[in-house]
Amino acid sequence: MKILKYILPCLLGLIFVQCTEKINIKLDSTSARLVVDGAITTDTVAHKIKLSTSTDYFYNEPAPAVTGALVSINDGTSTIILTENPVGSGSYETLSTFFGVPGRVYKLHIELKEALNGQRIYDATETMPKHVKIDSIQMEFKEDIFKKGAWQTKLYAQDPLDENFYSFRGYRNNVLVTDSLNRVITTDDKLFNGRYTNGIAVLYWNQNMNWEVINTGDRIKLQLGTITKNYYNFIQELQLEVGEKNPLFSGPPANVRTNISNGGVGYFAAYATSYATTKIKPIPNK
Amino acid sequence: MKLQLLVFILFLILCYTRLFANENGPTIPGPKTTISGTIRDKSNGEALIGATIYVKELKTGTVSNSYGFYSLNLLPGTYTLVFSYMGFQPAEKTIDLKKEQTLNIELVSKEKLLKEVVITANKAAEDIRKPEMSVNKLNVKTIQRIPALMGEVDVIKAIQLLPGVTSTSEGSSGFSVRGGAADQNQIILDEATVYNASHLLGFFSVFNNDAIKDVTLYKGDIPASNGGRLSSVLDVRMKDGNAKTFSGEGGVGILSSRLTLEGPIGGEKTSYMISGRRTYADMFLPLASNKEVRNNTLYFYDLNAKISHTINENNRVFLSGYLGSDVFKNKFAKMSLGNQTFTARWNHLFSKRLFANFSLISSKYGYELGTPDGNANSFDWTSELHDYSLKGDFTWYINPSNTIKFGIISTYHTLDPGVAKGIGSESIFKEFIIPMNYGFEQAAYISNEQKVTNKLIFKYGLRFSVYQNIGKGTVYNYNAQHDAIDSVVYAAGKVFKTQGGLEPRLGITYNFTPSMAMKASYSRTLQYLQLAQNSTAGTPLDLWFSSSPNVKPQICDQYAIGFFRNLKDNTLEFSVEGFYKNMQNTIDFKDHAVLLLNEKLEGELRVGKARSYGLEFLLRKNEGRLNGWISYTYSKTERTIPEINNGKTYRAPYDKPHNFVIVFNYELTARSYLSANWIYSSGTPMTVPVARAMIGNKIVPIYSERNGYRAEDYHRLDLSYSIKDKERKNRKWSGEWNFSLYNAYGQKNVWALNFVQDDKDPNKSYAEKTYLFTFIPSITYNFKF
Repeated sequence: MKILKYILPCLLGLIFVQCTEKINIKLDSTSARLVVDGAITTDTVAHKIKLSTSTDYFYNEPAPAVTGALVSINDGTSTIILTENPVGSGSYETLSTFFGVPGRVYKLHIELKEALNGQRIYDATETMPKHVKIDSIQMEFKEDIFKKGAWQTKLYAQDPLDENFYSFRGYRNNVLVTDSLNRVITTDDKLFNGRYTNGIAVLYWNQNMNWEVINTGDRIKLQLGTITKNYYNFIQELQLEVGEKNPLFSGPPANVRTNISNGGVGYFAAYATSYATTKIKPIPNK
Repeated sequence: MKLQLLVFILFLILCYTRLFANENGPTIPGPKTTISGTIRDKSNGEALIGATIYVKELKTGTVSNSYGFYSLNLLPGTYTLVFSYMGFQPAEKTIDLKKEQTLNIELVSKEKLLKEVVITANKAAEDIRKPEMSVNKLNVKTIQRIPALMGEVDVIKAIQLLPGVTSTSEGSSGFSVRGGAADQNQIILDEATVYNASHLLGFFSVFNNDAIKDVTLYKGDIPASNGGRLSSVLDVRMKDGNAKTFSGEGGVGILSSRLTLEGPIGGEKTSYMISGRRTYADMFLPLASNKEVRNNTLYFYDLNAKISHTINENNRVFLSGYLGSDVFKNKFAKMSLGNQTFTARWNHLFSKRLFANFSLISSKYGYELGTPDGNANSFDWTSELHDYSLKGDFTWYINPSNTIKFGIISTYHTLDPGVAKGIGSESIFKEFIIPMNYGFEQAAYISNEQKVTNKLIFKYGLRFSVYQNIGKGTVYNYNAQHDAIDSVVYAAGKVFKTQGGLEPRLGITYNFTPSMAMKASYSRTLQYLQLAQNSTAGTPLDLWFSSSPNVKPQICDQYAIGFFRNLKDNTLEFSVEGFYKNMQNTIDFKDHAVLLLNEKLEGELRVGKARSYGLEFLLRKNEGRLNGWISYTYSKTERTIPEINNGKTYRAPYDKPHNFVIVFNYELTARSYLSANWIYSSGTPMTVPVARAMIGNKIVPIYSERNGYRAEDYHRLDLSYSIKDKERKNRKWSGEWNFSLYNAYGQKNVWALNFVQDDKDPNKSYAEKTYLFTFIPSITYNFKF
């Protein structure tokens, strides 16, 4: 129920002015752990798995890359080795002809050059969910949402009868706008299982935010991802932990789940994608 | 436990054998007779709760009950009775008791007396003598004088200034008593449970002070007549209504206005009280510069009403109700929520020594949340809880040394955890229903207050309570990983789980002198209904869930010992109390629990133990130009739950070891007073990161220990100044201006602590505190007529 996140702060904002102030606090340290951040999708592209280490909270530098590791993915029939590209970046790639197949079980295997937090070997397993196709999308301008209005991306697709979890990412002129994980929209199908989505708004483009501004003629692309329940929960938890917290409706902070073994953090995801594109037509009153 | 029970039963037998043998009166044998009656306020006929009746000759006495009734069973003879009540002039009556006699007493408020005349005769040290501890009473006037946020006089905010009580979060109506959770407080208004006592996200409470007569907080040593919550009982009683003359009071503040009218209906036998309050913040919204804000609706209101009728000397009836709601609406969303309570009561005297009260109670809390229709995502979500109770409470005044109370209560709970559905033809949402949950909560109790000697008083009682889950109900079975494996549906009306237990309550008071006592108590309490909430302050989206085949009732054993001493002719009360609480089947929630619209909620629960202990000091001065209190509490409260924090003991969210409060009121002149309160407490425990990971271009915190960090200390000063209009003869109207300043020196107390990724440099992060209020001035005009 995302609506809570919208209503309650709004209510609070109306009554009292909340103020914030940067403060200095001293935090404890802990030993560095392996961080895995990567996904394979049904797209035919070079898929990336990024390896880094955790750091002190106020480290304030890019996360240290974990280089020279042996990274492989097994899909039940064959194993492919990922190559670090560029060398020293901690980013490991498949060939650009690689694509994931729904229903297959993908196993990520990592062997580090040197142990981190006492562990050299890490594994993760994820099953590629099946496709859910987008019929079409529509863009609609809503003047009364946010200060300068918002564009809604409306989705037309059939939700299958079984339990599904979705992620939505938006592209403007082929550039991913929802570029960080906290801006990816996710939903379960609990409240509309088996129904036609009938133009439900899945993305809001806030015209107040300059990176979301849409102009006439722009081509807007929606990526619908069918994701696993575990990955859905991972994204939800991550969004909670990186988002703003307050005593009214935030539970106690807690570690975001992971599917990496042996004390690793992060996630190795697999999801099936479907795309639809539309072009922004001029609106009469804009 | 078995041993405790055995000792308790032995004790009961022992006391029983002494019950009728124990006589404190003159030694002449002969049949006893009874003097009884009701104690009222002379100005308005309001029954006085907890007034003392002291028999000089016997050096003993009794206390009026919640309806102002008292009864004393004495041998015939001549007695001098002293009737006293805080803030009132004591009355002394000499009676020649030959046969059963009714003596109704009306006391005069000290305010009505000429200032020059000060009578201090026979001031009873009731706090010392009463065999009860861990109790704090606040009278309405005291509450009124405490500086309040936005001038909204608030019972719950006043309660939070008492020793052993802390607010769950800045400005919140939630409170923690002796380390208990907010849902372990039973808040009752005229006997009806108020499930959510807050307005506007908790910043204000539902109690309109003008409609209230009496507020008592039991922090421990909970009477056997009450149960169902582990930590405390907050007993709030509404005014009966002025039986003498039509009168009213009200006020206009910056947030709300209120008006209370009361008076007799055809003679003194019937009286009514009606009281309303509404905020008008939304009336200013159209003036807002922001068009988003301009179209909002936002208000809350309260309505209290009561009718009291005296049928005859032996029968009185009361009907009272409360209705309150919060409404919020804008173009995209709407939310409304509120409580409704209704109580019908009948006081009946079976004899002058057997007082009975029968109550029929209904209590409801519900909310609705949704979006306007006409869109694919239009939906509506409702949740409601409704209780119906029947209750019979009896007080048997055997003799001045023994007062037996007994009774039964039966409550039918209907919990509707939530129905969400699409609205309008466009909506894609179907109906999503969390199955209803029905239950019967029953209890019977008996207790006696026995004055063994004039110095030694025992109080002992036993409560037996059960909770029964009734069909139609759906119960999921969970595996060791808390995943639902299957479910069972029980047919309507079928009792599919019964859980319960005995709740012994014991107390002992020893009076060294009339102004010095030691007291000790033990109480066991059971709780069958709890709130699914893992935030500290809580949203209004309350979801109560019951004990069930998967959830055992929570149990609390509390031991307390206290020393009580009155100084300076009882004008100064000093007390120190130590407590230890041991709680079983304590419920917490797993990390990132999904609590709302989750039919498998029980899979999100994690169960363990909790304990808390502390020491409370209180120095209080109730009367005089300078009055108020100073309190200091040291307490610790922690939980051990195997599947949370890796099984390591962690601080409960309300663990604030040091808590220091000064509440001060000084009457500058006959017309004006100055009030201040200052709070200093340890900061709230928080969970902070020890490391970070970069995932999906976001800095993701990694935590080690739950509530391992403590925020900086909290402190705040509030001030208020009040001045009355000049008194004029032949004018009933009297007004008073109140100016208050909340957080007078603008302390930026931590309300929330966030770790934020820098917008400009995504590799950087910093800590940021959110604070709510610096200084908030307000002005209120209060009037009476």
